[in-house]
Amino acid sequence: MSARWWFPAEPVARIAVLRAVIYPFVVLDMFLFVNDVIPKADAPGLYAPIVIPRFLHLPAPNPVLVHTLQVLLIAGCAVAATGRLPRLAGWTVAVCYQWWIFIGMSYGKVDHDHLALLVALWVLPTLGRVRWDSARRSEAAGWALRCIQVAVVLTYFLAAFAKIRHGGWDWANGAVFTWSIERRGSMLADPLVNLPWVLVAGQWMLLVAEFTSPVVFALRGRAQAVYIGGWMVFHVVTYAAIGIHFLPTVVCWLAFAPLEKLAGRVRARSLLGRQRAGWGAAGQPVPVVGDQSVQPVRD
Amino acid sequence: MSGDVEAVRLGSRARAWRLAAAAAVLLALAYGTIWGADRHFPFGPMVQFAFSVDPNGQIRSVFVEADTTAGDRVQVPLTSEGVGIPRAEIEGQLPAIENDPSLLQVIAIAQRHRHPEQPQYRRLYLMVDIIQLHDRRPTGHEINQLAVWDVR
Repeated sequence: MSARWWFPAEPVARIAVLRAVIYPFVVLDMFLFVNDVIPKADAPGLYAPIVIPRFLHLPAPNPVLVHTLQVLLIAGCAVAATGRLPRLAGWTVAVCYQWWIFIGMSYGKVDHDHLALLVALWVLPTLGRVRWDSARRSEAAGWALRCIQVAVVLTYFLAAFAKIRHGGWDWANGAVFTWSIERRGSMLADPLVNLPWVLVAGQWMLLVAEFTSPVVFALRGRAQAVYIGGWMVFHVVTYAAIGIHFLPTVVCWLAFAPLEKLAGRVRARSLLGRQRAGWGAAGQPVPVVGDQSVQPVRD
Repeated sequence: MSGDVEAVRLGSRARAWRLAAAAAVLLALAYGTIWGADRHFPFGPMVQFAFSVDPNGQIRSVFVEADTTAGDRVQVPLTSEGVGIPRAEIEGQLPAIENDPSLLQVIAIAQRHRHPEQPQYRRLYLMVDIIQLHDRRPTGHEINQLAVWDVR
């Protein structure tokens, strides 16, 4: 992997859109997913800090601490989502959310769907203020997007290694899908326990898909979109079957999407509106500065 | 190609620290995947469902029941909307709780705090539901009690 691969010149507008999606998602995550940090602070009995918070001597959670983190996160995300104070608000969110997550993962169970979101929060503040209507491309934006993309893919790729390390090659021939359906099934999934060979086939498909996930970097355009769509379908099915959504990873797949096109459309509409209002034009398509092709620049 | 818009390049120092940061995280993840454990989060192995289940083995699901001040025996909702303590966290600390059932007190405190209007828990039962698999198909199950705690 060459050093150049880490620095594609990508549209900075994509960073602006991503900020508008990721930061509100953090607030959502705090209230819907890693939402037990506040109640846990009332009952510290089960607090068993994991390695990094212990190494950093972070204090055990208490109500003042967790409420402070929550307020800082909500305020930081509200500001950062608009693109204002991207560094101050962005670093605040990164630090506070990392701490929030450390607390959430220090009670005996660790979730594995937050890696890409954490990486996103640490790389988004490395860029200064960027606008939705910017047509600029930069290597700094490319590096940030690349980091998020790599973190997303590693979430799957490394999961395949973990399955072999902890489950051995028997993993795919075992009954792990039966296990998960029995423990957290749904009306949709429950009948499948009587079709064990369907589940074994599914286990093999998942293992192969995870091992080959880096192929997404070799795909372009429509092929890449279809491939990513395949993972979206996987997550929808998993959610319907056993109620596991993996949304913090799913939202980070957006780092692959040409979000700047969306920004371009918003920009075109606002220009058009201004033109109609200002000069009474007939509403003909207006050429928009900088709204060119969005193919990545090849170095 | 956006020929009229020049891409903004990074200087060599800006590139160097970015490459170093990415390399450090990748190395930590490689270490975690090969030798690490959950406690190394976020660099630990991605162990979601990373264990093999014997096609003729058992599936164990822990649950908690409670006698309430209303005189009923109810199932304790081990969810974030319920008592705020997910089942997996109870299972993650199972040996510790079996050794010291007073850790179950946390559940009663959490319930009192989150649902003060509901009947309160007086006694908690840590239970396990064991499903026996035969050739990957479930065949009957049994329920055992692991620990009891009188709420203080």
